[in-house]
Amino acid sequence: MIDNRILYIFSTILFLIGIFGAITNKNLIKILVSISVVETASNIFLVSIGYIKNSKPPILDANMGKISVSNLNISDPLPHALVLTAIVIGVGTTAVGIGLCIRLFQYYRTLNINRMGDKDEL
Amino acid sequence: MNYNTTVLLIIIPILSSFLVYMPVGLIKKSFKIIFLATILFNLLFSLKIFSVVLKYGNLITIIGNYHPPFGINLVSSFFSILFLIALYIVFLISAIIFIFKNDTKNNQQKISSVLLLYLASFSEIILTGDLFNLFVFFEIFSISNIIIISLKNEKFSLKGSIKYLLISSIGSALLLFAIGYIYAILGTLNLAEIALNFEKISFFSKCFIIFFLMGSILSELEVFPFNLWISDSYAGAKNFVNILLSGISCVVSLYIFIRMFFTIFNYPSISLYSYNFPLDIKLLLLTFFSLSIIVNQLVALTSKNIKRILAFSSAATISTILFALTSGTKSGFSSAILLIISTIISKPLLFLSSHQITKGKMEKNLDSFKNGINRKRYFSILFIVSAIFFTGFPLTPAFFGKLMLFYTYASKLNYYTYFIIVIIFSITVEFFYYFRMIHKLFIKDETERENKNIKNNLSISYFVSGLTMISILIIFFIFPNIYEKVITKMSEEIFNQKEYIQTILKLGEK
Amino acid sequence: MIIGLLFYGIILSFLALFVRKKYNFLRWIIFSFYIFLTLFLTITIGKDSTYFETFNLISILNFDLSLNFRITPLGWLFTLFTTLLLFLTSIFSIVKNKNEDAERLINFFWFILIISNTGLFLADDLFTLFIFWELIGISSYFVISPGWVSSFRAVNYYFIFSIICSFFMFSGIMILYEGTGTFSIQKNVLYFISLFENSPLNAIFVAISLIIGFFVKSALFPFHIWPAQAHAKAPDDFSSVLSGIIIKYGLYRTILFFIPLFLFIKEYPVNHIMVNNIPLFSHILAWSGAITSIIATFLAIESNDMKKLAAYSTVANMGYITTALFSLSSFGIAGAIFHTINHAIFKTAIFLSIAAVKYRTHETQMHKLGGMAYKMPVTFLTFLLAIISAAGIPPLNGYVSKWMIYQGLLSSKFPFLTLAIFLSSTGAFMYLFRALHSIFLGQLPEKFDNVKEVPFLMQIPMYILMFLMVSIGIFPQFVINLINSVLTSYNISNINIKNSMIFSPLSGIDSVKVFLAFTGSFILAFILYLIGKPRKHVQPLDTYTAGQDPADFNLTRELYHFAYKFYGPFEHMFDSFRTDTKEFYDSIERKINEIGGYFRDFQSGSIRGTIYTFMLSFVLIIIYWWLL
Repeated sequence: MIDNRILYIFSTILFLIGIFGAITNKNLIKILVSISVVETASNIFLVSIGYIKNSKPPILDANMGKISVSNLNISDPLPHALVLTAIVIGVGTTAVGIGLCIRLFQYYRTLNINRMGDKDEL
Repeated sequence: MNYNTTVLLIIIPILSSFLVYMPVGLIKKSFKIIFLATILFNLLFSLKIFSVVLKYGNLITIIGNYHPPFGINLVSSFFSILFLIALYIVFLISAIIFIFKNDTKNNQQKISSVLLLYLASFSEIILTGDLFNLFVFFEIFSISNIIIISLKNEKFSLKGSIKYLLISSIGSALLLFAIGYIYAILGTLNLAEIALNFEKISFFSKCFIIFFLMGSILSELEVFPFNLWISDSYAGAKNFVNILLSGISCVVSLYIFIRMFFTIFNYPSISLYSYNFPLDIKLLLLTFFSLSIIVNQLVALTSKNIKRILAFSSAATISTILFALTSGTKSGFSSAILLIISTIISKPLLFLSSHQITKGKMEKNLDSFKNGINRKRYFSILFIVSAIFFTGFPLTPAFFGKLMLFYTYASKLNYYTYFIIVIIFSITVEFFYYFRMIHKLFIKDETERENKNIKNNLSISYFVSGLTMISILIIFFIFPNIYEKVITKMSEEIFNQKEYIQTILKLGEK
Repeated sequence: MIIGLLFYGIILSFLALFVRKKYNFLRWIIFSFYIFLTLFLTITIGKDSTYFETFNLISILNFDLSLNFRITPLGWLFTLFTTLLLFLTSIFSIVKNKNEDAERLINFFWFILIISNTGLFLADDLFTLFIFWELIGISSYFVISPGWVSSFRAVNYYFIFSIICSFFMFSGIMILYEGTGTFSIQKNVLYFISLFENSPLNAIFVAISLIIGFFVKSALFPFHIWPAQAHAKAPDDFSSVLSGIIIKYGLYRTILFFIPLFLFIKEYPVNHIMVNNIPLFSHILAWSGAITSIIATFLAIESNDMKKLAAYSTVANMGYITTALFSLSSFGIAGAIFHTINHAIFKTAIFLSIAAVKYRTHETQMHKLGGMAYKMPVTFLTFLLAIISAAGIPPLNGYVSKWMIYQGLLSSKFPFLTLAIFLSSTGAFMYLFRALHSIFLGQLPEKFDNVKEVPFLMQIPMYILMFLMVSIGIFPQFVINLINSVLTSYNISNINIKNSMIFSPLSGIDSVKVFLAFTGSFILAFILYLIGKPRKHVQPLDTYTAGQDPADFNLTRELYHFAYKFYGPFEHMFDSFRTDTKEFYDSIERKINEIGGYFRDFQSGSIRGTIYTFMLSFVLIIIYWWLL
């Protein structure tokens, strides 16, 4: 089975990969993708918190019987709920970002951020 | 006390943000009524809640009958409700300007929907009692910020909003990490319960949480190395957006900072010392904020564009407020509140009046202020008065704020005292460039006579909103005791972390 | 009563704002009427009254911010002479401002300034003092530069220095307040003294933050350039106020704080470094005054603009006053206060006569003027008496105070300081004579042939100033008695004066006798002039050069007027010592602009820089954490 620690390390690595991508890429769309990777990393981190080794999914059914502290072998549902919300928000952010990309492309005819008006001065 | 109708402050704006799309065809214009009615409802209802808070103390809204450590709940305390009322007033002014503007007619319906989401999100941020809702609505808040910055649809506004988007989404990822970490350690997301147990967690965890939270908030707070978005965003945005950004967005993030550092971390008595890594967090923050004050003031000094000058001056003020908060004393807190009061009112007014003064000029730089006193007398006077209020002329709120700030750092003579020199530098630079702008208003312009055909009609919405804000300023000038009691009560609330925890978790009843 | 005075002043200032441009003399009549009212009230209250007045402004957040006013001998004396001189200047302004550009704005802010002038000198607590201090700084900004592009740079030197000094002073005040819990001046001074005994390091921080204001406002050495900028570019009648009155504010505050402190240390010199029986700090200040006076004298000799010359002369005089004040003998302090008053009087006279010349000729460069004495006799006489007084030549008021300064310095054994003062005092002869020669004597340029004397209303203040200079010179006892009451309030031994006979530790002088001797010799010379041969008035061009008529080779009257680079060889001697302080400040400004420009470009840079900086600074925080 996967240990929690491996998930933590995995999410950290994913975070760093995302940041690296955001810093080094020239294409604006690629930067947005990298930022989505960063968000995914944080989502994985959140999910891994709720995960307990060898646990059941947090669904009440007849087999479980009465829930008490002794047989509470279910993973925590709250982080899962949080992650769902976070994913939705991430989608929203990306959508807005892509919208902005389209407008920027109409002005500059390129998505290369190095050519996006360094010398524009008001 | 339980008071569940508080949730209407969030529900109604969200609901009407969808409702504004309903009117089509002949009655299309009635969306304006929905829009303004929602804001008015929020303002009036928050006043009602304020009266209840005055009577019974902190109000707790329980949703779905989950009692505080669990579920979603809203906490309306004296501090948060007053903040909310002040922000609603600024929002109302900005909304009036937006609604009666001519150049946004085509997509006013869509924008008003975004603005209502904005309204809902900052209401929730201020009222929320748990960390996750804070995160969610903070995200909605920054998305609506991004959208309204890009409204002008020019190079600068698009560049500004994409910068804001990149920074805020990385920041939100950091915030999410911090929230996850807190949940992993403490098993709760309720602010009160985190505050109760925060002292017990390890040194490493404390540092991790504080740094990640700082990383996410400081960019919204316009603190220097994180604030690279404001240069283009403010300059490229529309006037009512400038009012929102300077009067609401940074103040909301300041509120988050205060809640985090004072209510959760209990900053005044925080102990971040381990044997190996003694971290003097006060020195770290002071260094950061001093650097930010200096850099922002210097940029404001050297900029030519009016909006940029005002934006960076606003950023420097936010850093000054954080500088005052960093002292962690009651007088520092009162100083911060006084400066916030001054910023909330006079900064939007500065943006509004400077926009009107430079109207009709091709370039919105310092030279477009020339001869303002004869061209636009009313708005020039507004600008002068608000600049005087903002820079801290004696007996204005900003002056008392600076007085308290000096007192805070003078009261314990140690090496932190010498940071006062930063404040003196900042005040000097600030006075210099504001007086330079005022001076420009009086300069007679020879090229003026050629184009006298510029229409000089006074827009009613600008006139009324300017009048409202200036009268608030003058009331504060004449009766300073209005805000004196408020500040005393606020600082009592903020420095009484135990009471906050007790009222929410009902520990006192057991 | 004082509160009422200030309050009605504010109402009148707003009323004056609404006077139509056509009747603008009314605005200035309201203005001088108000100053007259202030003067009248000051005289009726009297110096000996223990009048106290408090106005509960607000008390906010445990700060008791009330306005307290008290008549102290020092404050009353300063109020009296400043108000008197302001009144004289305001009479001058009525005619002068008739066609002035932006006179409405000048009037409004000048009004605020005179209101705060009264408030500043009669303030009994530090908070009141600070408020009026700040008001003066801000209002003089707009009087010097009421929307004029020409004086914008000049005013910024003044304004930036003044803001820095006022907020340093503010931080000093707040540290003192933390110790005492009150803003009252007396208690804070006592606490300041005890702070020097208990924790000297903090006391030095407070002392420095308070003394910076004095250095800036009184234009001592590193800050000596602003008067030359601001006085020269200000409206002409306001220059006299700047030079005569505003420059004295720093001095007033220093007397309030530092004289009691130094006198205390002088009396109980335990644990303190003493040099020549006065504290080291005081000694340093005395020397900085001497250095300032020497530097300013040389700068005045070099300047060709007459207003700049007078401004540097002011700086030099502030240097003497500082030196005398910090020699801490009773004669020194009395001499300093007396010279402050005298300087205000004769410098107002100099600036008003310069303003009168400029009113008629619109010219400030001295080499383009000349021969005004015949055209403007009253102005000439005022200027003549003023420079005699400024140079310290016997029968006039400047002589008495300079004599007292020398007596004070010599009696407390400061030979080198005396020498320095003497050097700059000799320099004063050079530049003042040069000004007299270039403006009023010499050859009248042809374009000024139709210049007339200024209107009678502008002459009135000049007559009064002449009267003041002569009468104080003959009967100094009236002023010295007032100064004696100031000395009594600081527990210093009084000046021994009997009628017009002043006794110093070293010698004595009777000013009436001096006056009679000088008048006698003057009358003798006049008689010799009368009984001599009858003279013929020769026109400048009524001559011949190498046997030819000057008109043949286009000689004009201007070419005969020797005024440009008057002290050229003398200036050449000091070429190698010249450093440009203005250039130093300008370079600081350029550097700040450069750094700011760098950050500005950085801020509005590319999209990529945004992410880079964000992550880099985040990583830096974490590195900081690991390193510490």
